[in-house]
Amino acid sequence: MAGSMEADDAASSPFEGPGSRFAIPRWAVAILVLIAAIVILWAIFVYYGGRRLEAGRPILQAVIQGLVVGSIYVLGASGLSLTYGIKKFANFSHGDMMTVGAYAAFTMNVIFAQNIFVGVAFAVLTLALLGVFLELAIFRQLEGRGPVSALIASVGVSLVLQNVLSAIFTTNVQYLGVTPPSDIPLLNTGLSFNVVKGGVTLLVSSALILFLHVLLKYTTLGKAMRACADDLDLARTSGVNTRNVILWTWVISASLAAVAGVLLAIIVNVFPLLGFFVLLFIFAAVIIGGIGSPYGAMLGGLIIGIVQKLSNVVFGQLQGRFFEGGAEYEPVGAFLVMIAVLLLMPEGIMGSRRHAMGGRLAALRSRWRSPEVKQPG
Amino acid sequence: MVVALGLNLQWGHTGLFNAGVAAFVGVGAYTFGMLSTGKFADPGVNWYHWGPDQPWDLIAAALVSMAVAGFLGVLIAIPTLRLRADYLAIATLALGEIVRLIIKNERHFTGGDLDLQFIPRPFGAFVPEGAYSNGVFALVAIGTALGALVILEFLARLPWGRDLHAVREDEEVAMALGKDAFMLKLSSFGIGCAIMGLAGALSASYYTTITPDQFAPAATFAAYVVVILGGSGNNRGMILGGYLFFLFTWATQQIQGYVPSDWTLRLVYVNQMVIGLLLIVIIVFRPEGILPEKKYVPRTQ
Repeated sequence: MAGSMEADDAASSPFEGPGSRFAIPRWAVAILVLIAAIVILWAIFVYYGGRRLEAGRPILQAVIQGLVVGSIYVLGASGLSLTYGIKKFANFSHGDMMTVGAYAAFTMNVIFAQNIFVGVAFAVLTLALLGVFLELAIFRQLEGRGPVSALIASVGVSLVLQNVLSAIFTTNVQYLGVTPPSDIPLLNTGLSFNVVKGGVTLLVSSALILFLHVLLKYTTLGKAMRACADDLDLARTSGVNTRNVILWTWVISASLAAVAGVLLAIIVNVFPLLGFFVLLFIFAAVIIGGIGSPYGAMLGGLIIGIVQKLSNVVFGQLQGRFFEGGAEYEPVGAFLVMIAVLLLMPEGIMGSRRHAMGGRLAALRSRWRSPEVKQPG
Repeated sequence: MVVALGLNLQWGHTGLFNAGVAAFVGVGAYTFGMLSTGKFADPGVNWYHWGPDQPWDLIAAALVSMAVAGFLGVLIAIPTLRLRADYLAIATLALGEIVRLIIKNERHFTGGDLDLQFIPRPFGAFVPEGAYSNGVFALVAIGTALGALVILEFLARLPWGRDLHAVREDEEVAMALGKDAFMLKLSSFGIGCAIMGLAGALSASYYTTITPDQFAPAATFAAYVVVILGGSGNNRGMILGGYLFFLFTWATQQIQGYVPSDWTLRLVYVNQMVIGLLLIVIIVFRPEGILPEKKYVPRTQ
């Protein structure tokens, strides 16, 4: 049952991080481990399923689904990772920002009967404004008060957003005006793939990731963002207008959340807890990838998506043998991987050592908790 | 309120951000429910939950549920307490979700999503159901809360309590002075979880029927509102926060009768919304809460 997770841990622990004697980059190892875990699971399924190739089909189908779901997590996680990197706190309202995006698109698309693209544009606009507002009204006031104050404030934001949406739109499940065509079979493998649900999602998120990559790597803003994430004070003294950079980071992070929310709404549907339910998966993706590293978050998102769907299939198979629940334990696999990563290599796959305060807490203390500012209470 | 007391020990006194409160309360509630109703079989719908053959005494059941929740807390704490505050929050939130999923899905063990019913109340044999029963229960609950308050105040005054504050303020200094910060945090976490388990037992007994979704993360955040509202680090603040919170919920329920019918449902959300706003406003403008913690040693700011 824990095949994927055990393999994951065993193979990734001997690595000492960048600069060690092992020259293979960690992300490549992570991908290889993931592929190995998939192959092993597939082999187990084929073997116990009467040694027929068809028995391994659920695993492959799960991988396809996982890629699609994962690509949405990638969008959410890279946005979350951007704000995490600069503001140094876990934003619990990120999931609900995705929900707001989904509802903004819903308002345009269904209530005002506009094109879905108008809906997406409106969602991005709304969320960019929301992100800037949150930063100005709340999170800027909490600067220098440690990661937990801002975390609690973001829980408050999450509650407010959820319930404003519930009060306006009621908790009924709604649908966007997009009717996905039925799944098409892939050649004669018995697998299926949905052009709108899967293809568009993968396409959109790859395009946005590429955009983010170019932005971070080649533009002045992107370089300033990375500098701020590395060391805010140093960036400020080097003449970077950190306030503006932080605002832009919120705009980008929130826009990514908006698109992720709309994509999620197309695949699932629209309801006020939509984003909150995926929030933990997004956190898992960010942690696995390494806090503050958008590239790590991308990889983490794919890993979490695939592990989640795989554990759906695996737990479904094990149902009734060891325990009663089956596919409902879908999140458990993903969370276990996250917790294992937290404990074994808290800096994540691509995170820098500096962000890794977890395992060696006694030795490394968070730098932003200056001695004269104590945590609230 | 009792939940808030337990949480205050962890967060207020030791500075540990436990985001899995609801799970510990749930474990306490389910342990109490399973022990006090005994093995339950309903041939009609053919489901049952695991339990002893004979229903247990309520006090024994409550003590055991405290022990189970505390033990689970220690079990979870050993690996996760080394993590930084925000990682700890995410890890405990995830573990809490796992616990809830297990409670929800293992029907043969906990009754699962079919609910756990017919949980007895204290003095159920003497007092008929209804308003009197509620009154008697309120007395029992207040008594328990007061008992927990007294014990926790006492603990906070012991050297142990002072050590906890030291760990919260600066872990390295505490360790440099020879305090075992990890054991201190662990014991604080364990006791806090045990008290949450007791709170779970009380609430199970009060509602007489419990469902797994009562113990969703939203319940955790409600507990944090109580702690932060009342003033973290101050046990009396918890009591105040708890009653204010309850008063607020009660007030919203009362208003429901006076608003147009399409707003009655939405009032619940408005209520939650106000709670979220309160959380933000307090953390921004008055992070020490209504009743701030008393400082014994003046601090040089």
